[in-house]
Amino acid sequence: MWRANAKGMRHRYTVGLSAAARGDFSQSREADGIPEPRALRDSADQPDPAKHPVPDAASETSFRPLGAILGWVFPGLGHIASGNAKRGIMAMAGVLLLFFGGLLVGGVDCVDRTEDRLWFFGQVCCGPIAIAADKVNEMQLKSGAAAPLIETASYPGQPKVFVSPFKGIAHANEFGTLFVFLAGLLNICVLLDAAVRPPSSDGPSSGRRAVDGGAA
Amino acid sequence: MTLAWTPFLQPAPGVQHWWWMLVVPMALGVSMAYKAVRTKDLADWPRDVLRMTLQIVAAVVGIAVGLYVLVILVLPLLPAE
Repeated sequence: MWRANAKGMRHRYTVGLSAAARGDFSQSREADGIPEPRALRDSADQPDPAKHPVPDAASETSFRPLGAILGWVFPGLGHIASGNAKRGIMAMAGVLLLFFGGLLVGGVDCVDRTEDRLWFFGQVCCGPIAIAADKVNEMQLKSGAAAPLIETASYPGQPKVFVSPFKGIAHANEFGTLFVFLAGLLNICVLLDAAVRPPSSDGPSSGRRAVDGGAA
Repeated sequence: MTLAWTPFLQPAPGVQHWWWMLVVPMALGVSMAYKAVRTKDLADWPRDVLRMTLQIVAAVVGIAVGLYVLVILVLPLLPAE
């Protein structure tokens, strides 16, 4: 008796395993005599497609490098070029507020490719405007064109050090550098969004964010 | 001194005294750029920006108050040795 039961169990086990290996789990369930769950059988219990839309193949997110490049050339330009002008202008306003706010607080000295190299790596994500600010810093402040350079304290035996009297120090320099750095980091988000957002998708009921519902 | 200030070339005068106020424009700029990307209905953008700005400022003020309580009030209560 127990041998017959053991044989039957082994048969069901091998049938179920071979079916599962082929990816057919219904056969393994049938072989084990396990009924299908009611929720899977009854189509009425499936999620409402209107409430939980599944993106089709046409709306799959695709990466467009041109949008990212244009977004680096000038903040928000990637969105504007892809037909999302309003969204691009809003992003541009935020990034430029931080960028020029930083320059206003700390002066162009807060963008310095040689003295603040690590900060500059983030700042240059704003695009050519950050490179231009660094060039203005070199041509106007560091060269002494804007104001004659003054000598500062230096170690004995070391070469004399001259700096511009317009050089930012303390909180002014710290906040200016931070503002421009934040502008660069946020522009990374903006240009990546420009690269993956569907063209001309501004609106309350369209676009990638509208599909996945991630607004907050 | 203020009259001789050249914007964008020189640092803004008096920042040493009101630097802590800069958290407001910083939070505003971050919120504007971030919400331009995340807001699904652009009509909600101003409201979302205002809300996120207030959240950031409130969080910074909360951290400042917490650190003040910790450093000024709590830590001096600890025994010297």
